[in-house]
Amino acid sequence: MSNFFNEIYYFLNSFLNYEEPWKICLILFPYVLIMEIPLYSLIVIAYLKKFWKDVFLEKISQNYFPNVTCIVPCYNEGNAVVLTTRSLVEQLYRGNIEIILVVDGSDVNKSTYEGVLEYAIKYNSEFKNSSRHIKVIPKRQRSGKVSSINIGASLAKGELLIIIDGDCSLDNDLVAAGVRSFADKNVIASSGNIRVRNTKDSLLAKFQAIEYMIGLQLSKTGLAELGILNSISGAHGIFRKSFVRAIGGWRNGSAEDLDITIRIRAYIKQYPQLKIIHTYDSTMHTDVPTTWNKLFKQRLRWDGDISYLYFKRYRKLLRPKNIGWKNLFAIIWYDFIFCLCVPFLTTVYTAWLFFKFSPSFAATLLIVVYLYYFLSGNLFFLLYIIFVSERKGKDFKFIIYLPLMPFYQYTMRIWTALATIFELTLSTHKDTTMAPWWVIKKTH
Amino acid sequence: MNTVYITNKDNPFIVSLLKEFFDKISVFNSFADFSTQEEVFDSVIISSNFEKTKIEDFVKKTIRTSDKLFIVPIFLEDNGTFLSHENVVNLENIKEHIISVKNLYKEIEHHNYSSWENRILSYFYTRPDLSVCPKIDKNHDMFYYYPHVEQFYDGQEDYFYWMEEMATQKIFSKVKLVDRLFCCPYCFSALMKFSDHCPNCGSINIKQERFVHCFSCGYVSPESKFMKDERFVCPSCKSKLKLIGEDYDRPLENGVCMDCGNYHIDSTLQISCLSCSKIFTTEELSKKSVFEYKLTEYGRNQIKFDTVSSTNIIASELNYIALNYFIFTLNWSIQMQKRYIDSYFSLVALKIIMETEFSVYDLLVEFSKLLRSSFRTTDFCSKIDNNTFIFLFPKTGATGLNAIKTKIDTFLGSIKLSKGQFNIKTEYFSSTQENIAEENSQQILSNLTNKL
Ligand SMILES: [Zn+2]
Ligand SMILES: [Zn+2]
Ligand SMILES: [Zn+2]
Repeated sequence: MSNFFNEIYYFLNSFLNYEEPWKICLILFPYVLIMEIPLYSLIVIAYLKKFWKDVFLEKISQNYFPNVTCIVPCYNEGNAVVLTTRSLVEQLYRGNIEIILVVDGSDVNKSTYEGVLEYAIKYNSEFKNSSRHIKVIPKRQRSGKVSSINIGASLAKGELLIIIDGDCSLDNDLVAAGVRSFADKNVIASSGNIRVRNTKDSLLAKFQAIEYMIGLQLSKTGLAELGILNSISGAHGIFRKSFVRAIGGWRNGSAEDLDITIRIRAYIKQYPQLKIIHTYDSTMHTDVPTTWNKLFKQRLRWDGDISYLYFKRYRKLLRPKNIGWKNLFAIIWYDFIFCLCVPFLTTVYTAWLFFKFSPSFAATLLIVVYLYYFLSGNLFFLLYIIFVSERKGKDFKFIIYLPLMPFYQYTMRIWTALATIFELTLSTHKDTTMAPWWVIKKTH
Repeated sequence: MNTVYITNKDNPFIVSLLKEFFDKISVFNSFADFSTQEEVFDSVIISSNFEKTKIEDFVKKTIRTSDKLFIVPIFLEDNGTFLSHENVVNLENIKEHIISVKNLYKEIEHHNYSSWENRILSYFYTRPDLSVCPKIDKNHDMFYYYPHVEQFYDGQEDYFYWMEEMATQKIFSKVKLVDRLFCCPYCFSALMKFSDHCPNCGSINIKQERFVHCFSCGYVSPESKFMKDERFVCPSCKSKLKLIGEDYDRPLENGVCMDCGNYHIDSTLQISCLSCSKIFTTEELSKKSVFEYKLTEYGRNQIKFDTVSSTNIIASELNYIALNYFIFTLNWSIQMQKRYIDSYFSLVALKIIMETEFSVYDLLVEFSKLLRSSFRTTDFCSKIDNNTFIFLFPKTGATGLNAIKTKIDTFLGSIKLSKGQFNIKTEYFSSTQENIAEENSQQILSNLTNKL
């Protein structure tokens, strides 16, 4: 056994003393160097560029306070929707905010419906002259989240639409921060920052919190800056109403958020001046799954949705003439290779390593891989803390979980790979819980 | 039939019209002329050309107080039409009405009419269909008044209590609840002014504002103090407050005093009575019901046989108030005693047991005079039922009560010897902080009267 560790030590030493260690890495993990590092670098550079612009260059007009409509599709969230609504009326935004709560299946979800209705009536009567107004729209028959959002969008009086999940809480400057960039008439949609609210619940929730900080917050800012933002989350997105109406609103079926992003990107190909952005300081807080089982189910749904949309619904759309070379390249690189192929490759490669080399040499290689992910994770985390985080003290405490993050990330990527296989072979996305079966059926 | 027509304008047409209907018609040109004559008439017709207040004054002071004339029907003549309490009537009806009043009055004319209560009861007796309706009027401090009663009432005390008392005795029935008003607990006036004040310094210079409570340091302040560049920053610990429920919350405070800087949840609502200028809070507010009354069949009999409770003589001699006001005053005394150790009060309960009412009338008068001599204007008396009286002596402790007790005992001792059919039972209560600690007014009253 001690021989095994001695060998690892020997291998590590020789790696480090090798004249050109990166050459070894290139041989061992070519896809890492080709796929990941350039992508990460691009994201970081783009992010720093954006940060530079925000802080030192242009100050966007501060006199833009359009009417905003927040659409909250609710189902059976119960009292959680009331808390969401409360954090909406708490917004410090100077303009008017119309809050439309669309309760899906209000006959079945009576307590949710009556709870929000009572709150709305009380609020509207108590604060008659408030610039916040709450509307509750019951949909007696259940017809899915997409139809809720579309109903909200058709009733909306605001110039901008903010789509918010029914069970989250919002920072009181979410609207103000989110609206700011829309002063630029070319901005048609924006994704917003999502933070994990229930970090105290489990270690798994803490991992996801870090994943959201680095993976979503940092990379989305960079991707948006590069003009290749891959998706605007359905839990927190801001849209220009006129544009949403022009493209016919949201489409039925699963992953309506990714769906509308793909269509917007196709639209931008024809009108290149239009922009999708990521507003990193418009923050909402949401609960994430706290057990592996629930987390796997959630990711199975998300990843299945991605491959379903790319390989089935939008296969024809994914051509340079429809979305442009840049976007196509980005989709292939980020969504296809990075998110789908790399996990496969990692798995196959690891298996191959153990098959090909001695266990100690393979273990050494794994340690190197671990170190690579650990160090890059640390780098991103520090970048996030320094440039992005609005709660630096609170976020920095997560640093103690960073050594474990590569294991979490690896597990999730393997799961992504499996989810993709499921989707491509078994059509799992039909099992989505967001819409009832008859709605899903119609779209196929 | 002998009728008077008072007019300040020559109106030969009306006079000749009246002459056709009535046996005798006497015309006066002013109220003063009428007042000097001594004749008795069956009805009075007044021209509406006189000022309304003058007419009211005349009716009240000259007609309704006179023991000969108080019962007569009065009509207004307005350009050839005749009005009875604002209803147009024809002369045929007038004649019928006069006869009816006259006939009914014959049944009761031998009664004593020295008190306004007796006069108005006879008035109701002779007008069997009359409903005693309240009318709304912003000049009355109750906002309501009874025009019929005001013709008779002599202005010494509030006649609302008397109406209430008549209803308790079943002389009147309550036909309809017309209104329920908030009113002053001291004088029962409904004319009140409402204002809200700082609970700390009493200033009216207070402002409504939303508040913020910082979770990281516990600082509570109006929202405006947290607002910095359209964000919330705690002025005390400098934390950024972004998420409601996690970084900050909305405390219950919603008012700030511009004079003393006090933060409060509820401002103090202060009420000042425009009639007696006392100041009190909403919890102390009284409520008063305004009813439409009607004389009952039982009441008619009581009037006819002049037996409208003779025990009432006690009430008329003393500071009598209806039972609900009595309980209210007692509650107030209890609160005072709970707060201040030397705020004693005493209660006397008294039950009169009689075999017949008539025989003891003189004794009752005597007894009430005795009570009156030891009564102060701050003392109150009320009735629990027709024979049970209750007296409240504020600021009277055990010693004061003993003096009252001795007087009553001496009096009762003197009459018991001579009159077997008359008996008075008494019970006494004097408050201390201990014996009222767990009690409310209802319990104290029932403890006291159950012993009788
Ligand atoms: Zn004050
Ligand atoms: Zn603070
Ligand atoms: Zn008063």
